[in-house]
This record gives sequence, structure tokens and C-alpha cells, in this order.
Amino acid sequence: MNTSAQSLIHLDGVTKVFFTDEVETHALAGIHLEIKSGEYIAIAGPSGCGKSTLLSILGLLDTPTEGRYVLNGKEVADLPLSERARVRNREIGFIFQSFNLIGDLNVYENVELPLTYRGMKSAERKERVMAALEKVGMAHRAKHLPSQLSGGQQQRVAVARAVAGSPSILLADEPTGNLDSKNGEAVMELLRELHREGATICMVTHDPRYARHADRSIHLFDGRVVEEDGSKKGERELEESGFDIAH
Amino acid sequence: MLLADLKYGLRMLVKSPGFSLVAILSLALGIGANTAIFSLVNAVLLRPLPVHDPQSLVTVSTTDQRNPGNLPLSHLNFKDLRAQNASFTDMAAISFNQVNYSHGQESEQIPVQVVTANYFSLLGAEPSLGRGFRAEEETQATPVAVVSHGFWERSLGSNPNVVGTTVFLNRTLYTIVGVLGKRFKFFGDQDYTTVIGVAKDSKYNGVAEDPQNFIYQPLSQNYTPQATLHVRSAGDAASLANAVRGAARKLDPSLSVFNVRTLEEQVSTSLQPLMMNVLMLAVFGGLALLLASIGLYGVASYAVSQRTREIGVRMALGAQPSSVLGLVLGHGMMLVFIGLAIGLVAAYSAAGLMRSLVVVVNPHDPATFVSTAVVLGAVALLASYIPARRATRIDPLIALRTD
Repeated sequence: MNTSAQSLIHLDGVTKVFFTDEVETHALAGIHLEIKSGEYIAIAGPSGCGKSTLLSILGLLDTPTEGRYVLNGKEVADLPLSERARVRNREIGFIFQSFNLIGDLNVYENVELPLTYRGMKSAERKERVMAALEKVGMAHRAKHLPSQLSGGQQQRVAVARAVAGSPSILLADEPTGNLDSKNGEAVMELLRELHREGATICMVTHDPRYARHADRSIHLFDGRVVEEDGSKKGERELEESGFDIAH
Repeated sequence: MLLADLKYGLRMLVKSPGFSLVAILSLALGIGANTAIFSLVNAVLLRPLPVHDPQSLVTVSTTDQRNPGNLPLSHLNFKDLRAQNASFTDMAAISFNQVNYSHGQESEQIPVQVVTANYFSLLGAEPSLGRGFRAEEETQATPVAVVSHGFWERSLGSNPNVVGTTVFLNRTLYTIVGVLGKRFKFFGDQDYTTVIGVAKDSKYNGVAEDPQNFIYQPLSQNYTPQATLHVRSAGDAASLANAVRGAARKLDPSLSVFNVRTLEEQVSTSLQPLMMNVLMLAVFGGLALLLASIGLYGVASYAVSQRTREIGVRMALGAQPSSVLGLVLGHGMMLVFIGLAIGLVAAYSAAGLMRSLVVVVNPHDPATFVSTAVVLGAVALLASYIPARRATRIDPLIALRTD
């Protein structure tokens, strides 16, 4: 972890409470989190611990009940809808568990979509889309529909869509959840490569094998951070160079 | 962005052709029926009378109590009435006759409207070519005539230099001084031969008959012993009736004045047999449009429900509410455009059929087609706007959890 890097995300006392008729569900309880630019962080924990809720708040798809959320130096917790959409479009790249490619659009159009919403000119869009597809090794499938691709290929396209706009952070929600182990590893390798190139990644996973890919892991339980492990980068580098580290 | 939305709309349309076809056909039916019906409604109900201020123009029928059931006001009584009157702004008289129109070796009977010199100015329907009659032509036997637009087209070859040329009427050479405008109409009540003006060429017995070819002559040149009055007043029609009645009795106690009605009332009366059919057609047209709009609303709502997750993904990727609105409207617009195209072609044919039923309809009136297309297109778009608006309120977080 680069400790001198600038703070990209700062959560301060973030809580999320879901209200139903008679029940209050505390999904997140006083989360404090700092993510620095260029960092690769994994959010782990069992089902229902609040991982996805936290990621939704980080991705401006949901709002905290209480607390502050600062993204790139700007308070974003209470932005109006249109401004949230604008920030999502420019600052955040989403990678979903179920890929969420649009079935009626081909690979090229899927990757182009967030750039279209940015109002980018056609020539620049084309350049960025092709670069992103090249990066994930899917340029040769640009005219294919998602239904003509394997799950692993679809997730690679989804990664291309997430990175095409050069967002400040990639938010990955169980990116290997719908993939077999081989394709899962391939996607994790792709994320690792993006990280090496400087991308900031925040990944939700319940699988400890994949959490180990991150620089730092935080473990949630009942909406609270119960454990934080920030020493993974050295271990991973050793592992990659051939050392066997027992956990 | 709009182009992309339309392109995507077309793709969605092709994706579910059966569903789209039903929506398009129902729209086409609704739009086509309404355009054809509106052509009729416009012609019969909406188009203003081609005379100046028809509400203040009243027609008056008279009868002689010594000879009931016949004879409108005599020409001489009219002159006295007009001379004595202080209650009216102006008064004109008209009576009907026939003339023998000779051209080459042939001749034919042509209906003549024998009018006072102020007739055209009273109606506010000045000839489109040349001029109306002058006051002195009412008393002098100068053989001049005004022809109707239909007569000018049919018998005089639409000659733009017709003013000043001569025609043979009753074996007398007449100089043409004017051509009446195309939209001027003139027809009378079947029972009382009361005269009213409507539109285009002159008609005697209502809007359903073919336009007549007329020649207009000043009173002095084709004298008839009767005339019907057109009276223009600054006051209301009801008080005018009493004023005319009083003046007529003062002139001749046996002269009975009745059927004092404004021009609009006359038209309304003559339209009554047609009105019920028009109203029924309008109701059917409205129902057809309502059903088509409900159909489009259903299609758009279904599309939104089917695409909730997709809309959620788009919003997560940064789509603004306006982009989502455009996306759903793009699909609706494609349906509306195709429905409009088919509907207008169908209406073009159906209006021709209407023309054969009711001659007053101009089946290919561009203004009617354009205005109807705009209004109906807007109604249809509104039907898809409601679900589109709903789509903009989709919570992407919930949508992404949708299977």
C-alpha cells in the first residue's frame, strides 16, 4: 500500500438503517474507511454482513442514513439525483457479479455506453472503447452480442466498460461470483493487472482466496468492521515470486 | 443521443415484431380513423363561415297572410323597408331565377341569384376577381353579372382575364365585372327558400348537395316579384326580429315576418341531419384513438417493466433521468411514426370515401392532415411519456436486484 498516496475515499461514521413497518435493520453501523488513490482493497465477510450495502454507498447507488462520504475531496453523501448520476459516470467504474451487459447492445456499444452518457465525441469514444477492449483481450469480439460470449468473456467486457472512462475507482461486486474457478482467476488476474497500471479497486468478495489479491482487506460482520488486514501486498508479491506462504 | 434512442427503439421494435405490429396497427387505425373523421368534422363543424361576422347577420322570411305559405317579401316592399329602417346596420335582398346561358351553338339553364348592390359587401364576401355591383347598377339596366367560382372554372375555363369579357344570358350580351371567391356558399332552407351563405360554391339545399354554378345579377336586370332579406345589425338577433316585424307591419299589416335567424343558426339547422352522423363518427374516432393510446401505453409500460434491470444498469453507469426518458420515448416514437405513416395513408383513402358520401369534405386537405397528425402524434407520445416518466424514477439499486 502506498501510504503517501492521496486519499480518494473517506467514510466517516457511515450508518445505513433500513426501515420497514415495524423493524429497523442496521445494515451498516458507524463505518470509518479510508481508501487511497491506487489502492486495491477487498471488503470481505459473510452474507448479510453489509458488504454490498457498503459498496452501494461507495458507488452512490444508495445514500447513508448518517455519516460523511467524501469522494475525491468532495462531499457526496447528499448530492441530488442528477449530480449523483454525473459523479457515478465520471468517477466510478462498476463491475457486477452478473456482468449486467445490455443484451440488445453489442460488445462495442456496451463499452461505449457510459462514454455516451458523458457526452464524449464519437471519435474519442471509439478510441477509448477499442483501447479498453484491447486491454481485456476482447477487441476481436466488438461486434458480438453478449449472448454470444462465455461468462468469462462477458465479465471481461464488463471490466472494459468499467475502465473505458478512466474512473477514479473501480467497484467490483463479487466479480467472480458467476464464474468457474478458471474464469474467476482470469478476471482476478485482469483486475490485478489494472491495479498494477495504477487503478484504484474496491472489491467485495466472500471468498478469502480472492480477498488475498488485494493490498488490504476489511472484514465486516453485522455492519461493523471487525478486522482490517493491511499487510497483504508483501505476501502477495512473495507468493507471485514463488514462495509458499501458509495461512 | 436522439438518433441513438431511435436506433435502439427500432431494434426493440424488431426484437418483438408481433407485439410491435399490434401496437402499430392499433395506432394506425386510431390515427387513420381520426384523420378521416376530422376532415369531415373540420369541413362541417369547425371551418368558419365565409362571411363577415355571421352572428350579426340575420335572414328574414316573410309571408303574405292573404296568400299564406308562399311569397317572400316583395321587391318593392323591400325597398320601402330599407328606406324606412333605422334599426339595422344594413339590409340586402336576394331572389332566385334562371337564365339561359348561351355559348357557341349550345345553351343551358343556369340558376341566377338576383341581388341588391350591397349584397356582397353586406356578407363581407367580395368577389375574388373584379368587383361587386355598384349602387347605380341596381337601378340602371346595365347588363353586368358576377359569376360564381364554379361557373368561372367550369364554363369560363378559369380565365384570369375574365373581367370585362362578355357572356350571353337570355340572348343578351352581359359584361362580367367579377368572380366570386371559391369558399363562398349559398343555399337555402328546403321549406322556406330562406337563403344563407356557407362556404365554397353556392348550394341551395344543404351541405350534402353538389355545389351549384351561379350567376349573380342586380335586381334591376332580372326582376322577380319576391326577395328574401339579409339584415345586419349591431344589436342582438332577438331584438332585431321585433324591429323587422314592427317595420313590416307598419308597411303592410298583412305582411307576416317569421323565421328570423342568424346565419349560424341557419347553417346549424341545415347541418342537423348530418350532425348526428358526424358526432357518432367523432365518438368512434375518439374511442379508436383512446384504445390506440391505451395500447401504446400498455406496450411502453410492458417494455419498461421488461427492461427495469437494463434501466437500472444504465442509471448505475451514469444515465441521467432525461436519457432514460429519451430511451423509452424513442421506442414509443418509433411505434408512433410508423403508425402515423400507415394511418395517414389509410386516412387519405378513407377521406376519398367520405368525399363520395359528403361532398363538403376536401379529402386531401394538407392542413387537416398535418394538424391531425401533430395532435394525434402528441396524444400517442403522451401515452408513452407516462411510462417513460415512471422509468426515470426507477431506483437503480432495486433494479439491479431484479431478476
